[in-house]
Amino acid sequence: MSLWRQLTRGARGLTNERQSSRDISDEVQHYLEQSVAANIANGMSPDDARRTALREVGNITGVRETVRASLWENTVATLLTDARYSLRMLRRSPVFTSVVVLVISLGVGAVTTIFSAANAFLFKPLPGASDPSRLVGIDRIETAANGGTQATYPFYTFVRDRAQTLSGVAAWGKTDLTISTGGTGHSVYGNIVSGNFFLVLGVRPALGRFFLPEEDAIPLAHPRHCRLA
Amino acid sequence: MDQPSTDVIQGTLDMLILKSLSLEPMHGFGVARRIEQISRGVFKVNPGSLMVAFQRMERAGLLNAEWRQTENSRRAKFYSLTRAGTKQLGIETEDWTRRAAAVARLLRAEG
Repeated sequence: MSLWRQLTRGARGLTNERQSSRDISDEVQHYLEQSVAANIANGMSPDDARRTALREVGNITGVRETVRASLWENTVATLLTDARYSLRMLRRSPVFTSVVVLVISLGVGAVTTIFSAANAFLFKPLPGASDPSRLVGIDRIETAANGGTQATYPFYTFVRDRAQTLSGVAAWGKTDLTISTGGTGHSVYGNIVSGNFFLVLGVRPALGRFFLPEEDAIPLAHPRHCRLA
Repeated sequence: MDQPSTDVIQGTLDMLILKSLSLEPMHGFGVARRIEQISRGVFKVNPGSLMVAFQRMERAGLLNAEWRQTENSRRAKFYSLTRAGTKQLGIETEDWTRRAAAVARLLRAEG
């Protein structure tokens, strides 16, 4: 109830600033007149009465400002004035304005791009995998060189058959492929994976099926022709 | 009036306004006058503080304000208590009585 009053009265003060400041002036003015009348009734001369009353009330503008400063909409009004002023200043120097707009938009764009990429790579769990937190990578490190090296297929089968702490081990490698669409071939970069790859990740196809165990018979091979739906 | 009047004790202005208005609806000067008279000139209300308090209390829903036309065709704002205002007066009076009694006891205590 009182919050509603706060909001509606404040909004009224904002939309009808002249009326609300006139209200305060009238109220102070009335106070002053009453004070003068009371002083006269107490036996003062009209001049003295007026002087005494003015001394007591102070100047009307001062009182009005004190009252206005105590209201929340005054802060909003000041902010609006500041905003209007800055817009005016920006319009007066269009070159400066466009440079600022350009710099800010480039900055925002760059930050957004970097964040979206970082979000997808670093923070979001692997899409489709049933339990990404239990997924680990096995790398073969060559001590002589700095960094990893590819594992052989026998190495993969060796690890796969003996792993006891993992529910499954899948392998993947990079390969160059050619996709033909309507007579034209496109060279694409793809991954060649072991037949259990999707099973280990826990990915389920939305439609159809992934590889069957018997399709995984030949190591390092892939169907010669893939038909893309 | 030999002794000079002072501002009202901090934090009691709202209570004094509520009390004055509980008798009858009044305009600002009326409230100031009443506080001064009933306190026998001990307290004098600053008009600025009074107006600020009116605005705040009206928005808090303690007072209702109404513009009335005076005899010399001026506008005057009359304030009256709302139900919440009456309730608030009860709360503040009780609180004040408790505190004042405590201070009185402290001042009377010896040794």
